[in-house]
Parts: sequence; structure tokens; C-alpha cells
Amino acid sequence: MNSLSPLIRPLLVFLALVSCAARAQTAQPVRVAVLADKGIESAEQEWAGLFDWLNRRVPGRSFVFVGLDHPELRQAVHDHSVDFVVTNGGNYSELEYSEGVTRIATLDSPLGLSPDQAVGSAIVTRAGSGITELADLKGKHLLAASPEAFCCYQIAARELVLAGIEPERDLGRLEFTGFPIQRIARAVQDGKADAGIIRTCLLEQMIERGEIKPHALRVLSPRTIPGFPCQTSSRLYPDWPFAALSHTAPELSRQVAVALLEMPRTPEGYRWSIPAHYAIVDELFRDLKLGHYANLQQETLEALVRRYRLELMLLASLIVFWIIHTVRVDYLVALRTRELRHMTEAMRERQNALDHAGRLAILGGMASAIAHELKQPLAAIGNFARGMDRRIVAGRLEPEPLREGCHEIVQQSTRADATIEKIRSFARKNVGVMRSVNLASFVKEAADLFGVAHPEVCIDWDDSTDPSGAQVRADAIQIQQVTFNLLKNAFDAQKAAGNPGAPIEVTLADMERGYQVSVRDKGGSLRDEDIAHLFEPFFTTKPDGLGLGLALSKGIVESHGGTLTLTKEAQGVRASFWLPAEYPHD
Amino acid sequence: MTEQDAIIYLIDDDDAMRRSLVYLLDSAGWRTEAFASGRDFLDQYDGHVPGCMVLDVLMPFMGGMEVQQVLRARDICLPIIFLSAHGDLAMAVQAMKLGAVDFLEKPCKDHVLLDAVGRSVRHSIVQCLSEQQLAAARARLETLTAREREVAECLAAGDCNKTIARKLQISDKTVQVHRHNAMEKLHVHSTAEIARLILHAQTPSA
Repeated sequence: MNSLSPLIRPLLVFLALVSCAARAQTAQPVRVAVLADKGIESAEQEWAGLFDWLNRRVPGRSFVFVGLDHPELRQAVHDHSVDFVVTNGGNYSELEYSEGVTRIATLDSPLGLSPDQAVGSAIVTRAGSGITELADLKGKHLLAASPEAFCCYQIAARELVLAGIEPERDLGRLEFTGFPIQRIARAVQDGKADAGIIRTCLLEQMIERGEIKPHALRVLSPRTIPGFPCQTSSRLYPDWPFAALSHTAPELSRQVAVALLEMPRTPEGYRWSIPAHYAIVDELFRDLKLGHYANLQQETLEALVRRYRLELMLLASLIVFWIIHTVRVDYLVALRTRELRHMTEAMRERQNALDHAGRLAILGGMASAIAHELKQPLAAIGNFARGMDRRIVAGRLEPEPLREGCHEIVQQSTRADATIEKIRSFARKNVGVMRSVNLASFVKEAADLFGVAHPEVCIDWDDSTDPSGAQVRADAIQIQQVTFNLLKNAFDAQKAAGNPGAPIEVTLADMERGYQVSVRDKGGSLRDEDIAHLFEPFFTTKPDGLGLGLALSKGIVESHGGTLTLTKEAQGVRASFWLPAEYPHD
Repeated sequence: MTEQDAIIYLIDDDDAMRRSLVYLLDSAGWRTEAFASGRDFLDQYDGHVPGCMVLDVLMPFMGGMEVQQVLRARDICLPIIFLSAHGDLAMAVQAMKLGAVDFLEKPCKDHVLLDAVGRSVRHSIVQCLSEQQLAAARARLETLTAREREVAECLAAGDCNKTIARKLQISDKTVQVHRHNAMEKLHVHSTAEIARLILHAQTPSA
């Protein structure tokens, strides 16, 4: 700029001045939106004085009245198609939050106590209605002008809510009549409704004008506000503000504010005052969950999202990662569980097959014992019958020997029957049923059974336990199977060593909170390398063995929580199994 | 000595089996004595003959074969009928070699058993009778003096009195006295009978 010639400088100043003047002359009209929910024309008339004043006091600008109802006003402010807005306190408070409008002055009404405390609601009822408090309105028929009317429905509604009455829910009927609200007062007086919501001071004005008889209507839950001449059911709220939109030039706002404050009182007594506080309106909206509180959460969420976008994205990616991880882990767990189940099923099937094979082997071993047990009584019966026949043929008919023969036949048939029943019940017994049993008695039973099947065997039975004791929880058949197996091994070992008749020692003794059954044979010795494999299925040292006995026995004993061991002795082998006592004693 | 004198010894460890065999044999007219084990029998047997044993092969503690061996060792000659629940051919052959009369499979037909018992008892009687005759002959020979025995043996060999007198260097008269006394003592009436008796006594016992 320093390089510019002194001649050019005055020219620039002139040009600037010209452009300013041109801008002033071509300035667009200032559009002032006015809430006109009671009709545009009446509103325009009502506010005509204000517009005259502004047009006079703010030079070079023309102020245009734009009468709008609630939705139109909201839209116009949102679209910035107006520069100022004049509306009620409620509507203003809403716009302040949503659109950022700023009040520059508040109406000072002759009816109000002050611009801050100017508007309130009176809920009126007939004098003799019996309704005295707001709470009494429950289930009653209430009239109001419009749900959107700040004054006076929303103001009254707050008091109702605070008195415990949710208008939509608790009132018998909530009827909106529209404006003017004078008709509400009349309707209540005429008994067309139980109560009605009107503006404060309206009742007093109507009585003064003779439109309503004094004492015909009564204000519910009247509050006393010092200095306030009218009866009110609600607290008082600030009057209408004159507000600038966010895009309105500050200079214009300042000029308008100054003009408003300088405006003299109207013939009705209205003037403009410094802006009031609208915080109380905010409280009302909060209580009624109206206005910006209706969508506060949404707004807050949006704001939060905007503010914490990075953190949220990080969180989101963490969540996504966590979900992927969880799904993967779940999948792997499911996969491995399935594999494990297949494995256990295969194992169980193999175990079942082994069990089955083992049982068949034992049944085979018992078949000769069973046959022997049945053959004896049948042979005896035959002998008795033939003997009797011979006596009869020979004419030796003494009754005593014949009766003896009959008696013996009966006895022997009973014995055969008992044997068959025993076999049947043995075959029927459920394998896998754990019961409380006496170890001594059924090990002895197994030893006896073995003795029957192998008459040449000699078993030395020694029970050193308490006769009442040796109580274990076991499947008796399975433990007998184990005992049978061990005896068979012992006997086979002795036979192979050439001394089948040597006594096999079977002992039962207390041991470590349980009982131990030992079967000791005088057979050949075992080779160390064989001992390691003895419990493996299909391993056998016998020429005709299946190699299942010990593997099965070990499985059975271990399923009972016990142990099966083999130890080499100087001569022969000791096979022992231990089972935990049912009632261990220390 | 007749079948009436025979006793059938039954040895079986199964009570019912034992009783039923006793009943059957009793019904057929036999006298019986029953034992639960071979040992019981060996402890109580008084050497009575004639008779036979019916013995179970498979018994605990002392099997039938063992009982048979003990009887042989004690020179008791009761015929043995073995009963076996398991038809074991090898065992049967061995038992028969050791002198068993019969080897029957249990349960056997009653007439099979009774036939075997009858046969065994008759066998026992014959055996007893021959044993008795032998014992009597030996006993009578024992009553002779040494000289009488020499004379009797020479007679049995077919020598005449003169030859005997020359052999023994005694007189004819003395030979005649010895010959007379020997025939008296041996209850025989001819030299042929003397010869048969001495021959019989010299055969080994059964």
C-alpha cells in the first residue's frame, strides 16, 4: 500500500463510500417471522405498531411481517428465510437450542409481574365442581386450546405432571378447542367440561368485562405470587422474546435491539425490555420431555459420535476383532468337542466290544460248570425213577422206599430248577449297576463258582477283614468277572507248570481305606518284558489265550476307582486288586 | 459164598448222585455201602469180600484213579467200576490196564450199571473162591512135617514107595507111614489129588 501514489488514495476512499451507500440502498427487506397461531390477520394487526416503529427507527431497512404458524415458523427459521423471529417463550426456547436463535429483547406486558414472570396458566373449574386440587383432575374432562400452545397448555401440563397426572394417560378426556381461549372459560362455566386451561389473568379480565359471573369459576391449586394480581395455577414464565437468527448481522441485531428498547409503551401498555432468562422454560420442556428434550438423546448421540469418532472407531474395531475372535474360538471349541466326542465314542465302542468278548469268554468257561450243575440232579432223578420201576416190577411194593424215591425225585427237580434260575438271573443281571455290596461274599461266591467249574482246583480262602465290613460300592457281576479272571490265570499258570492241584491263595485284607483281594498262584514265573505288556489287550502268554482277561479286569477295577497290580513272587505270581471302601475309616 | 454176601461200595462226592445210586442198587437187591470220598472208604473198609466198587473218576482231593492205586498197593482185590461224567478215552484205557472191570459214562442206563455190578460181583466171588481154595491148600501143606512134605512132593512127582525110600534113604515102612499121615493131613485119597494140590499151591496168587 505504501507504493501506491498519493493520488490514488482519495479515490479508493471515495469508491468505498459509494459501495457502502449502494449496499444500503439495495439492502433486502428484513423479514421478521411472527408466531400467528391465532390467525395471521389478527396477528398482523396486533403487531402493526411494532413494525411501524422499527421501519421508522432503523433507517435504510424495511421490516416485513411474516405471520407463520408453529410448523411454518420452525421451517422458516431452519431455512434462514427470515432474519428475526417473534414468538412465545416456549417456541423460542426450542429454537434457541435447535437453530441457535438469540433473544435481543423480551416483551414487557402490563399483565405480567416482570418480563421474566409474565405468562402463566390458570386451570379453572366450576365453583361447585368438588374439584379443588390438580390431583383431583384424574379421570376428568379437561379443555385446552392446542397441544402446541405454550400458554397455556404446556405450562399447565407441567404442573399437572408435577402433581402426578400424566395428561395423555390419567385424564378422563383431554379436548383441544382451538382459539380463542375465552370459549374454554365459557364452556367450563356452562358445565360442558370439568375444567379448562386458560391464560392467567384472562379470568379476571373476563369478569371485569362481565363476560363471566364473578365466583362462577374457581382457579385450581392457586399460587400466591407476591405482587402478581391474578390467580394462577402455575408458576410464571417469561414473555415473548424478539430474537435474531444466527445468520443475522450483529450490527442489524444491535440496531433492532436499540430500537425495541426505545419503543414507547403501546396504548395497551406493552413495551420491550432487556432480554429475559428462559432457563425456566427449559425446565418445563425437561419435565414434559418436549422440544429439544424429545430428541435430546439423538442429538447427544450424534454429538458424541462426532466428538469421539476416533475412539469410537477404535472401539468398533476392537468389538469387531473381539466378535471375530469369539466366533473363531467358538468354532474351534465346537470342532474339538466334536473330535473329542468321536474319540470317546470310538473308545467306548472298543471298550464295549472288549467287555462283550470278555463276557463271552467267561460264559464259555462257565458252560461246563453249568452243565455239571444240571447233569447231577438229572442223573440222580433218573436213578431214583429206575430204582422205583425195578421195585414195582419185582413186586417189592413196600410204601416207604417208594415214597423215599418220589421224595428224592422232587428234591432233585427242585435243585435243577434252582440252578437254572441262578443261571438265568446271572444272565439277566444288569451290568453297570453300582450297588453297596459285601466284597467278601461275592469274591467267595466267584471262587466257589470257579471251584465248581474246575473240580481239581484247590482254593485257600483267607478273609482277614472285619466280618461285618468289606463294604464297597461296586457292580458285583463285574468284580466277580475280575475275580474269575484272576483265578483262571492262576489256575492256567499252575496247569502249565504241571501242578494244577497246588492251593491257590485268595486273600481279602483291609488296606489303605479300602480292601485288597489277592490271588497268588504257584505257577511259573513271568518274564520281566512280558509284565510290561500284560495289561494290553490281545497280549497273551498262553497258547490258547485271547489276551483280554487282564485288560478287561484292569478296565473294570479302574472304573470302580480301584487299582489292579501284578507282582512276581519267588514261585508264581500275585495278582491283586484294590477297591475303595464305601465307608472308609482311618 | 454167594451174591447175597456181596457188598457194593459206592464212592461219589455228590450226595444226590450217591443216594440215587444206593437207591437203584438197593432196588435191584444189592447190599450197598456209600462213601463221600475215596479216603473215607479207605479208612473204613474192613476187607470184606466179595463185592465191587462203583467209583467216580472226578472227585476233589482224591480222584478215582488214585483210590484204585491205593487199593492195588494194599492188595485189595475188589473189582472197580468207574463212572465218569467226561468220557475220557485215555483215562479209561489206563483204568482198564490197572484192572478196572468197567468204565461207564455218566449218566449211564440202569441196566448197563446193574449188568456191570453183577458181572463184577460174580468175578469177585470166583476170585474169592479160588483164593480160598488156594489158601486152604497152602494151609494144609503147612501142617505137614518136613519128612511128610518131602514124601508128598515125591508122590506128586510120580515116584513109587521104593524109589522114595531110596531117595530119602529111609525104609519102605517109614515111607508108608509118612504117606499115610500126609494124605490124612491133606484130606486127599489119592496120589493124583496130592499132585494137584501141590501144583495149585505153587501157582502165584492173583
